[in-house]
Amino acid sequence: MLLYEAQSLCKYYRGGSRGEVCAVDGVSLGIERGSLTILLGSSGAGKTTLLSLLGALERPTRGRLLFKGDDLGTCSGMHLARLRRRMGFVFQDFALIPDLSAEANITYALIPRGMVRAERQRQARELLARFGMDEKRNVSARRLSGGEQQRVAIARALAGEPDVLLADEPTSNLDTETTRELLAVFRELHAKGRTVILSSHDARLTGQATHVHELDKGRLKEPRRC
Amino acid sequence: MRHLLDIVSTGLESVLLHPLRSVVSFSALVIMLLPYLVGLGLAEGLRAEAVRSTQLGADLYVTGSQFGRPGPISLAAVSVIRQIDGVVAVTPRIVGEVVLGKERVHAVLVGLPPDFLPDWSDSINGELPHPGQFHELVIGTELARRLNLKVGDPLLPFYENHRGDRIARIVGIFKPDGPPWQANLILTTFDSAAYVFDQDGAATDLLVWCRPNEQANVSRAIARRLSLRDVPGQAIARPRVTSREDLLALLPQGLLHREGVFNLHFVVVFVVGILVLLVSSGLGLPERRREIGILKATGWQTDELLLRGVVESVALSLAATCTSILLAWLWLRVGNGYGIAALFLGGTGAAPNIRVPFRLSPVPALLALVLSLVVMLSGTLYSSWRAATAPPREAMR
Repeated sequence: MLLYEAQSLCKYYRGGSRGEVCAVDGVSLGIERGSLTILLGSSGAGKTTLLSLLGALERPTRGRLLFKGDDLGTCSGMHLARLRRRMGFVFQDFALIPDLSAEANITYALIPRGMVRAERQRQARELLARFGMDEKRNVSARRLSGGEQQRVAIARALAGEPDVLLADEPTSNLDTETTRELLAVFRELHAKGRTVILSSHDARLTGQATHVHELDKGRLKEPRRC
Repeated sequence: MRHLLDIVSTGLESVLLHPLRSVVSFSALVIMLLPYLVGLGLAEGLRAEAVRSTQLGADLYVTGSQFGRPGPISLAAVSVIRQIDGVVAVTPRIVGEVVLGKERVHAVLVGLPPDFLPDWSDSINGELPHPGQFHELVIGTELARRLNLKVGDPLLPFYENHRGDRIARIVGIFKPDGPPWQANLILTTFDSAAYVFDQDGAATDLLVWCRPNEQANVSRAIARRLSLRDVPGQAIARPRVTSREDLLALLPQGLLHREGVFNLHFVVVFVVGILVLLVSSGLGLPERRREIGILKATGWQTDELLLRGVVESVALSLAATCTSILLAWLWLRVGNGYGIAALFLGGTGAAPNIRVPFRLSPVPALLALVLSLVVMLSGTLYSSWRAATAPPREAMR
């Protein structure tokens, strides 16, 4: 059963003197529920843009993108915000609010979901403990190391039990050991039936995936099933 | 409801989350509001004091009228007015401007008959002026300070008179807690004032007290009798009768003039203030935009983000207004309107020697809150709205 369905998806950006830059060009794909999908491609291939479109962080310029039947290109801004609550996004630069504590970074993401304070705190502490960050829950994000920030970012993305976890180049800045740990987390989530979509330039990761979509200059290469 | 309260709470936390921006915005608001509140407090206090003084004064004020302007009135009119039914008492008064000392300090000299002077005894340190060879004067605290005078000091002639100059002597000084217009006042006997201004047989105005509810009848009778016939032996000008109610109605015009100039200056200050806050809200603007983008990416809606921004602005406005009100009260109460009182009280220096009247009423306080909200919201809400309506990825760039 498809969680995402993209048809002739395009995303253009204004590129100043160069006119419009095409980041995603006519991509059609389907992503199944419970899959571990990797968007593979070199730098500038359009992975981050496609992931942003899947994460409802941007609207497509053309084409259709359905998430559980809802068209992310045409639905209202309010509906789009509600759909984002069912997605967890891990940004390449982690995108934590630097002056908030690790715990507050997670609880803030749960506020729009209407949870009571105690429940927000309980979930945040559980997630931080799961990623070995329970002792640093009151430390501001600014004072955490890169690896710690990434763990908080993943914990935040998993808060509220989203239908899908999207991670943009999650292993790009990590050493081998941390990469192995992180991939174990993704495998564990996948094993529990969660849909996971990663973008990466590292072809070695494809061994972890159930589906791989390779991008080149914004276009999708022939899909392959692992 | 609980959900809204949670968002409100993050708005309040946001004040502390951006300390530099909060401190700059808060300080800019206090700097704008504080002098404004002090000015309004002074204007209100002076207005209340003027109303009180007028209400304690005479029922009618009769002056002469020449060429449509107020002029002196003959003392012969006193006996004519006394005969009018409903009149309780009539007192002539001389009020004129004099210039004193090398510093050329302007002062108002008031001359009253001796039987009227004891009413002033409670507000004077020293003695009341008596008729005699010397001019005996009671002077205001501000005059005493500026001319370095104390009780017992002589005052060299400050006028020119064809009958010859006389030395004056300070016999009293008004107490500093009196009404502000006593600050530059000189009180003396009617005869001394007439001598100084070389005006025998005339007064600046006549103060008339009437029986209750007779004021209108007496006013009409004065106008009729003094207009229809000349007082024997004296050609008097046409009378102009001003009632206490007329004076009360005129009071705001004079005060509003100064208040208006003050307000005009503040319109300029507020316009500049909005610009300052626009700039200050730009402090850390990229971080702020990014923060809004991150929150939006995690599921926050535009209206929730705007509510958070409004709460932050309202919290800062409220804090700045309350602080400004407290500081304004201290400035007026402890600082006695230092610096700003001179704008409202002519002749006083930066540090007035009199107790400056003030009144911090709820309306100016509410007005200050509204103004600070307008300034704060116009300075910050637009940038928040721009970020909150942009797609999260764009806001985070």
